[in-house]
Amino acid sequence: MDILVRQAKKHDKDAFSQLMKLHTPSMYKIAKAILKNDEDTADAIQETALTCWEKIGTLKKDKYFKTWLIRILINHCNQIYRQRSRMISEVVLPEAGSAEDSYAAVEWKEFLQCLDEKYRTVTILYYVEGFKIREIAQILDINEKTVSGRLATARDRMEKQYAKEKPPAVIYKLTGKNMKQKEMYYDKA
Amino acid sequence: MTRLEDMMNKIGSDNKVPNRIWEKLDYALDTLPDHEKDHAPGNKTFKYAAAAAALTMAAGITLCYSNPALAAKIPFIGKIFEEVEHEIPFSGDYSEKAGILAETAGKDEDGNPIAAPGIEVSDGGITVTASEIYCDGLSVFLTAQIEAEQGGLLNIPGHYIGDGDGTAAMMYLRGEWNLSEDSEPNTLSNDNLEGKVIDDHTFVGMLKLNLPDYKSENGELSLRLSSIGWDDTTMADAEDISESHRIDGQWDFDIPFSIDTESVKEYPVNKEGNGYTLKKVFVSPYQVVSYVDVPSVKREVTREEYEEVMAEKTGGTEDPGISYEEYAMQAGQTYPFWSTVICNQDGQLLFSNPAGNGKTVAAVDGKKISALHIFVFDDMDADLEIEKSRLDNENGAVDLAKAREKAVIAAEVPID
Repeated sequence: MDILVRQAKKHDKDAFSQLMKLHTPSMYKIAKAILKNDEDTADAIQETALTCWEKIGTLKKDKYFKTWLIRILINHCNQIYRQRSRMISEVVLPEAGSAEDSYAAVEWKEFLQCLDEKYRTVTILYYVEGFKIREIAQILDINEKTVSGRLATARDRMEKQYAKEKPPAVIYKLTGKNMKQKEMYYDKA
Repeated sequence: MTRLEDMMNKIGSDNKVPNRIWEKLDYALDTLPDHEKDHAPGNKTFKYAAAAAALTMAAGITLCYSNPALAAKIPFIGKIFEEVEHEIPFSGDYSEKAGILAETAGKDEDGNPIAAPGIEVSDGGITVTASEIYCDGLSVFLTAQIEAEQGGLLNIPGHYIGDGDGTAAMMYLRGEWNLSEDSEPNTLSNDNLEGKVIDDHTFVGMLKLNLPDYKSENGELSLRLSSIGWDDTTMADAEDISESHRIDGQWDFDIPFSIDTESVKEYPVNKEGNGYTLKKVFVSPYQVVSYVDVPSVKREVTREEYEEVMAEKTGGTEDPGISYEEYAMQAGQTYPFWSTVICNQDGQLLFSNPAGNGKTVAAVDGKKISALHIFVFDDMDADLEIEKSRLDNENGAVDLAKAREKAVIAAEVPID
């Protein structure tokens, strides 16, 4: 990874592209946790790639590449989020969450529905990306206590939500193309 | 395993990325410019729009700067409190009480105060103009305008303040300050200018300097700034993680101030619990400051521990920047967890940050106070549970009964 970063800093496009693709699954999860839909997520990742390419010469320590990348991504997500908030009364946005093909689709849907953006971001950074609380505090420019508090709230809310509803049952049925298609229902009994 | 952990495990192990994401990323990567200054074709609309906006803005700024009459119609000097006082941490009506520094140099033909010599200092393309000063005996509140020749201030991000959706922008300050009678200067540490961006070259904000002890006599603030920095939404320097722009220089100020002695009152408490003592609380229109004696534990620090910690910190290649003796003094005395939560009579939380040595400085932010509920916790989970209880309350109030139950000290202080 460090070799790729060093090559990318010398404006090696292939190395930079490899580096971005290696981090795309992480970027996708973080951006989607903030923006909820794939269209905005794609825009945020695209803008992040362009900014990183333009600014990679300013990266002083190679080992911080991922932190640096994610900070830039979150800045772009926040910009898009703010623009979208301003436009929300005029434009009908596409429905949130569309990872139909993902095996974790049910989890994504529940995650996006049950938690607010500020809880989703720290949760993804902590549990999925493995950042420490101190690092998350730096990335989001908030204090460590706030990060711990948001994680505790997220855990608490999910437990309450889980207690309220029985876990969703998933039924698979075969379509004409012999592909599995998920249908989800909540047993209200 | 909690429900959230289970959910995160599934999301974490699913690395599938939808095609539409790859398509857009591939397009961007295929069209990366050869040179840093070039624009990516895939980003043409965005860049052209940004360029057009920048051009419009530059035209506006040029007009303002080249036309003194027009510039004077943006009168921030002498009125910065009025501009930012409700959109910063520790908000309140400062403008009614603050002394306006620039008035000493008179006013221009439109009645706007003119900056006095010595209050406006320029270095490295940055001009700092100290505008107003106020002191409630607990803190010195100084407003200032910063003008940056290089521009780019419109890229400063906002950070959330308080509990709502309000945001403030920030300029990082480094340097030292002291009051005239103090021999040892204090290092600026997390003491920054918070306020708002006026245009691409201008920022106005307030600096709050907490005094170590309550002060009741007038004094002079000596402020020596050695660098000014700011974040940029389009950049992020991973070494410091923030402060993408930093200008080193020298901006020195000596500013006399008077104390608003009528605004602050001390309330002794002297309540104990589990080794902790809540000694007293000061209340001013802008802040509540509580003092807790926290029990400390001493331990021996070996040279091996010092070397191990420093090796981990620097990778064994750099000067650790701290001697064994200094480290032993700092690490040899440990304090258990403590946290003070301060609410008003309705359970509304006064947002605070621990200031060290058992001191907590909480913001009034315009809330009415007829009584204070002060809770000291020795357990982080209990502290978090209480702060979180606000989220479950429709009025956003802390659950006072639960706080009394969980705290090692719970005190109710009536306020005159």
